[in-house]
Amino acid sequence: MQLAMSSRSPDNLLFFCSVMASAAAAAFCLFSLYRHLVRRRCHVGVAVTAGDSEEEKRRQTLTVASSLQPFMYDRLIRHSGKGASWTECAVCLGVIQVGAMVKLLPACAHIYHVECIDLWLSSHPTCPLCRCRVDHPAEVQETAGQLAQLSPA
Amino acid sequence: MANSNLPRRIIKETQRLLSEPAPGISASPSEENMRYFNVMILGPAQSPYEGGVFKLELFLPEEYPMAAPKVRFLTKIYHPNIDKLGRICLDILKDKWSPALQIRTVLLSIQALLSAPNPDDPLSDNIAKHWKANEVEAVETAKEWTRLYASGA
Repeated sequence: MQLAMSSRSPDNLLFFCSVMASAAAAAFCLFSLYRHLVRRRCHVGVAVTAGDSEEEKRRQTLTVASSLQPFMYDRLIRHSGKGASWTECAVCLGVIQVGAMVKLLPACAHIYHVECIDLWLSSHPTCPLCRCRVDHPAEVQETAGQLAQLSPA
Repeated sequence: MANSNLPRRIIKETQRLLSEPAPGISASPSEENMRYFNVMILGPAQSPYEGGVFKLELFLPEEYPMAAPKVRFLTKIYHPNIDKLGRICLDILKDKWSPALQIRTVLLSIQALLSAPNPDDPLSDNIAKHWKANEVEAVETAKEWTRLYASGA
């Protein structure tokens, strides 16, 4: 009897630990998924605040374009519209090669070559594919950082 | 000379247009200028333009794809959103242009416009008035113009 108890108790401890670890992992996954989904919602048709001059809008757009950090593309990057085997830049219609410098739009996670999207964002604050506005300064950097974090390096 | 330094995107689009043409649409580049396309759109079934072959010209400006293609009907057409010079009232050719759109999507939108005239956003005031006052009669005129000017000549 004594022998049986002592041989079972490490098993119990192991079982308890593995249950706790699984629960924690599941909770973390759910929380990450929730944050990811919340952030990815499109902000279509956000009204421009009254009194914004053209010049002001242009300045904001330029700020947004330059605030998005370019990074090097690899196959593990998570983004919208990902094909099974390759990803096309909707602006130049070229394949985005591993190692190419890209930008990920924070609100919708569409991805483009840096030079392609910068040219467009220099005069328009919208995603070419879904027309999401990208000029939400409060969310822009945080979300871009978060998506980059979620993507394994 | 005009064909040197043609962006790869334009070459790619042209190849796709020729190899996989959209139903009822043909677009072929001019030999002298690869930015100039001769376009033909068949009048959609169930529309007043059914049976008609409409010629258009499409030009890709230097800024393309950052700026929309310039498209114009060459065949006379009775449509509230197309004026007598063949100019087309279509948002994606103006403020709703996006570099993710292509020659193919523009031409498909024009084909759709033939199926769904919108007299509330007219380019041709007289035709739009006619359309709103007496749609049956306006549609008859459109059919008549299709027979007169677009009968596959």
